[in-house]
Amino acid sequence: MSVASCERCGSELLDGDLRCPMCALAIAASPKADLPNAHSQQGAAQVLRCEGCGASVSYNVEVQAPACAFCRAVVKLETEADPLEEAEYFPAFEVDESAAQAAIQKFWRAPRFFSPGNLSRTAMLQDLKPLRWVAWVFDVQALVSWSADTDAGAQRANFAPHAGQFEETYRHVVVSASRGLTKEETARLAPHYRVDKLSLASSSTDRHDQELGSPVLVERFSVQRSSARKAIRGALLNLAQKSAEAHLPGSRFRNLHVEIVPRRLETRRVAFPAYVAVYRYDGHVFRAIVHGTNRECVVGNAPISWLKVMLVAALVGAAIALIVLGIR
Amino acid sequence: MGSLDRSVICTFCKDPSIVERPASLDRPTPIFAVGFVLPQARAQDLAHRKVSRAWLAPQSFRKGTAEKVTGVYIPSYLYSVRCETEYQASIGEDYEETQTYTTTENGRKVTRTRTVTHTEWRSLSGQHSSYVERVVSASSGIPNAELEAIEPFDLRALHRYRPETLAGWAAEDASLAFATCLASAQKEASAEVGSKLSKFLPGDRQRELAYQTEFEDEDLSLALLPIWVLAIRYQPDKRTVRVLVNGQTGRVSMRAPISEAKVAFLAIAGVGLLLLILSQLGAFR
Repeated sequence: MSVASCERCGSELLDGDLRCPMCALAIAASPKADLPNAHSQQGAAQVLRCEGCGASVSYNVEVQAPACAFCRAVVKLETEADPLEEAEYFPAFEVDESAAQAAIQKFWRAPRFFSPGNLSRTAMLQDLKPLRWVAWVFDVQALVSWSADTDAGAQRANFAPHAGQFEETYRHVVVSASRGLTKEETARLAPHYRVDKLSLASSSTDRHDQELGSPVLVERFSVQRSSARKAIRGALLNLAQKSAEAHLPGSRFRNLHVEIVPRRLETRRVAFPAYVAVYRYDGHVFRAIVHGTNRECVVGNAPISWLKVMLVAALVGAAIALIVLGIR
Repeated sequence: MGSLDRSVICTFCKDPSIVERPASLDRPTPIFAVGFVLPQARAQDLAHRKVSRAWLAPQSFRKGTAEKVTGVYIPSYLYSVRCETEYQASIGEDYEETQTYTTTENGRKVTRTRTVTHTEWRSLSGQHSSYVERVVSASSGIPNAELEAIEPFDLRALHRYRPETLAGWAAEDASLAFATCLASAQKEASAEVGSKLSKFLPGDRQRELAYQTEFEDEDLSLALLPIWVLAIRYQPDKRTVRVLVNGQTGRVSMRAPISEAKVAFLAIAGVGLLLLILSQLGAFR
């Protein structure tokens, strides 16, 4: 989708961009879109005529474009393209269905203090479906300006003001666009994909998807390009905020503010492989997500044994009572 | 045909025409345009609503009707720039102190403590880099302050300029010098940087903010923005009052006349109310 890069900030420009989405630099018209310039040097007036019927054309508010009042022909204007985002990269499934089932069994057996002891024996796997969840993966350089109060150099007050700037390169940052999976789920799944190895060679729902047996549900981005860029900018600000923390002097801080100047933003739209498992335990339904390329990574909810919770609460209560009685 | 008109309508056949002049530094060819979204009737309705709510204006103005309604494309520059700013400021860091004091309670002297908040002022200097985007008028007819009053325009609806966009509508060429517009854009960008800095600085409070901005990689692109202009004459001997309506969002701006009689009445009523309150409070006993 990338067609060029911005002359000012080097960020990628997509087909249909009129200005750079990062720094707002105007993009020169392509030669084919050059304006008709058949007028004289003196500035003569020219009637613009409909190519269909020859009547004069005027801008129509209702259709928001120039239109012919007689034959209703509408002149198409080159406007900012804001199409729905579409995935370009489809990393292959490396975990097959039986391996995903085994991963779920392992997830049930994993030691969790508050989980019921009989989870792996009584839980029933109801459904296991392969799916592709969508995300943006971006690389960007950023000049980050920061300011904060920290305890370094503090005198009478607990904090002293500090400020600085640093350059940072953020690579392979995954920003989820999934509506099906929660932010927490995608944040835990994302580090296990090899996003540095993404290649357009797997740029279709590939052969492997077809070999899985059951159809693969491919999630749609369902956001427009302009919203995508807002989401990426937001994610970049969060990243800058986190990386600024490493540059702060002292051990405590507050009022951390950052401003960014992004450069050379490159975005890839990826449909990551995963399995959604639905299982039942004690009449309740739970969900777990199995990573599509790393069977060791399973993210999900496990039931809680309320008996164990009450036992721990009773023990804590008893310990507090003993301490209080002991003090008296 | 006026020397600044980019669009005209033939007096005889009513055909809309577009004027293409050779571009120059002070009168460049537009690069972008935003089309009208708001129909004339809706613009008139919004303007009349605003006029009728101008409480301090003469009654004849509030009941006035538009003499003339014109849809005009106003030349404006879309300015974008990377601002490199060096700043200095005093940052206030609050801290609390417990003070011991002596007071008299029930005829006895007692010692009490209280927490007092002090501010320690520290100086801070640094660099701040950001991209800034502004829209400034390139029309001598609609000054920048008036354009600002009906901003913002939704620039997602921007399209590349084609003469057809203007057909049938009044459109003006840039009438302010490029250098004037650039200075105006830089002034706005600098003000925006100042506003960003006041939110950016740490501390519990701040004062003496001083900053110097260098504008790098500046870009000024001429765009035509849609505005409905209404002229309201409320008395035969008075000049018309201009009402501007954003042709995209419907935001209205005007400088409504002030009725001297209403202002005098309000002042008298205010003084009367004050005297009444003071007399109730016993100030004149």
